[in-house]
Amino acid sequence: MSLARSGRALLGQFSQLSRGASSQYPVQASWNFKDALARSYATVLSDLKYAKSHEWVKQEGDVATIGISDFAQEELGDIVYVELPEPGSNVTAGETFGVVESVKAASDVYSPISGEVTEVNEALVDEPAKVNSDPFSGGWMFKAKLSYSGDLDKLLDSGAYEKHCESAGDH
Amino acid sequence: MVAVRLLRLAGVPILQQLHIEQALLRTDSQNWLVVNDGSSVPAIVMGISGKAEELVHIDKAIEAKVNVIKRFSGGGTVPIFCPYGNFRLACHDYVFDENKFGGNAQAITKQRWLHHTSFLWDFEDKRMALLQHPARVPPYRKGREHLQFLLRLKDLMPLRSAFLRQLETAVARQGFELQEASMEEVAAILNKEHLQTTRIIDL
Repeated sequence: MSLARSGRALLGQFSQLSRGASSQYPVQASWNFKDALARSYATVLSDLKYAKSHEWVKQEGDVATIGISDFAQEELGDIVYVELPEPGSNVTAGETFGVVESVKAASDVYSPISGEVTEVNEALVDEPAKVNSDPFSGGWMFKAKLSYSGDLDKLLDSGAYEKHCESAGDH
Repeated sequence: MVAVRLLRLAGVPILQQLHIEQALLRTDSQNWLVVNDGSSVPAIVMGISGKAEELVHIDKAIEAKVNVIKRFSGGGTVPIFCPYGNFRLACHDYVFDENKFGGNAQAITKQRWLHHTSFLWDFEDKRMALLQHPARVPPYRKGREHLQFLLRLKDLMPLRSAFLRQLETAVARQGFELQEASMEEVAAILNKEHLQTTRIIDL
């Protein structure tokens, strides 16, 4: 996910630009109280690892489960579509594995680990909003057999990820 | 001053235009403004999550020999039939009062952000009839059919060429330096390996 300036924040920024001839570009992202409040209450689970691009990983043996964080889903807004990788395909750490659509934006999502996809969350085809309502459980995206468990060592723990989310709002 | 490469196109089919846009998003690091003055090939363009059976009257589209395209960005369905060419955004649509004259969509990657807009210069009523009433609509539409909430820009502006010129002027006024680009440059970018997902849907 690309959320240093999230999809919703960018859209908000653009709508500011488009409201009148007096708008001056570049415009600083306007973070309102509701956004700030949502960020301060975003859930970060302690037993997961996180990518700076806001995906989470849960490791169980050599299997990793991947989804996007509560912070990410909140920033994106209502998710209406999720495109997932094919079971049997390979994903690579740091590279895109799928797309989520929210508002009118299609945002890439990036795999935090390398491995072979063993299972995808088919429920998201009919109920993509599960990513919003339950990002760490019912909204998981795919499972993969890890190619290299060392990938997880390169990710953020929950404390570092919380700080990362705070700094994302300051940019 | 931030440089923006300006690519002026005229009559380029929408499928080719979308391929250019996705290539620029995926393989290039410069800022781009692509303006296509009308598409020469009629088409219906759906967003990445679009389902033709829910958005298009498929039998009518086949009869009219109109391709249905799924693009790489989000958003709704845009009919591209005839030349397309102080407002506000309402639910991310371009509107005067409560009438829409343009739609937009975005694609976001780690490093890049793409925003494209279809301005509704003119349309034929019968072509709009190829579209079904979408399940997801913005509140300001208030249940209106396509023809009741759309607006033709040509009814508001005297010259299409002036509108296109003003688009560029508006970008320059925001502090961007427009630098003209050629199709040769873009062709080289298109030839780079990249993810290309925009395609014609098999009806």
